[in-house]
Amino acid sequence: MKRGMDLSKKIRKWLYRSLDGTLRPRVKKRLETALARSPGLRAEREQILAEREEIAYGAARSFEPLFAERVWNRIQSQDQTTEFFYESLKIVFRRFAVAGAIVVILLLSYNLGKKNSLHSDEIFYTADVTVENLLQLPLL
Amino acid sequence: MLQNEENLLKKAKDGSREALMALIRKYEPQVAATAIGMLGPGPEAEDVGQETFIRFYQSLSKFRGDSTLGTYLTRIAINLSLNQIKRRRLVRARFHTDTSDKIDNYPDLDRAAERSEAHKLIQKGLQSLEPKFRSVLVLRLIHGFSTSETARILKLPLGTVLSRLARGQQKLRDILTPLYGKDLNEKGNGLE
Repeated sequence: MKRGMDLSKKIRKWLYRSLDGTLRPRVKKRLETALARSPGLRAEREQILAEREEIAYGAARSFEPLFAERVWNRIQSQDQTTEFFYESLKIVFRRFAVAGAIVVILLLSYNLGKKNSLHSDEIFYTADVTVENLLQLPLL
Repeated sequence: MLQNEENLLKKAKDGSREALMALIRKYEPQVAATAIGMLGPGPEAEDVGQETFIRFYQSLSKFRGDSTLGTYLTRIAINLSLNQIKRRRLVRARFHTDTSDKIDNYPDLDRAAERSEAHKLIQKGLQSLEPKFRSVLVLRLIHGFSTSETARILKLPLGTVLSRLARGQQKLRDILTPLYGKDLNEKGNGLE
């Protein structure tokens, strides 16, 4: 009994696979024999094919009218948003850059005036910055 | 004059609105079949459809034609649809709503059956399948991709695609048979 059920399950599996063209010749032959013998199996195959046709036939294949125009509008609005974002970023960056440049110039002028030397170590106040000095700094 | 797809692609890459629109119109049926097949008709499917073409537009310069444009777009649409299904589940889990993909929850189902609109029932039947079965059925049965193409698009082994196809179709039949009152085949014949 169980063997019979297993066999019908197997044949049904082959039946599905046969529709996708992936059966080995030996299995294909066995399926063909089973199909020739069993009207129920033939009916099953017809049913599977009809269902597949129905699924393909019933599929919706378009969106609401003017879909392409809606996509284009979205692309346009996204482009504008991106452009606006980069423009805003540029404005903010420009302000930071100007402020930073002013701070650097002020620092340079201050150090230059104090040390009265044009050496870069003096201007940037980096003469004492060595690895040894850094290592000797007290830890917090 | 815009003639073939290669030409359209080239012009779209150069920023031609006309060319891009022509490509969208050409591939709308394919993308719609994927999105609506996966998500059902409605704003979600429309959104996935639009997003598919937007992503395509954004990656136009990278598109080298390794796969056909149809396959490429279908792959984007199926991935976006699967993401949307995940998002939908997360939202449902978060708000503990009772709505689910189960077919019993479609209030207009009886009406649809009465109207004998077989394709609506099938569409809703598809929606009640697990996404892993749904994606295989959509690609293989609606799009007509071969099983190996389906496997490639979904990045699955061929054997998995074959078994999901068979199991998915059987599950769909199990869902639809009681609704039809008899076998889909018989009802289908009556509808034609």
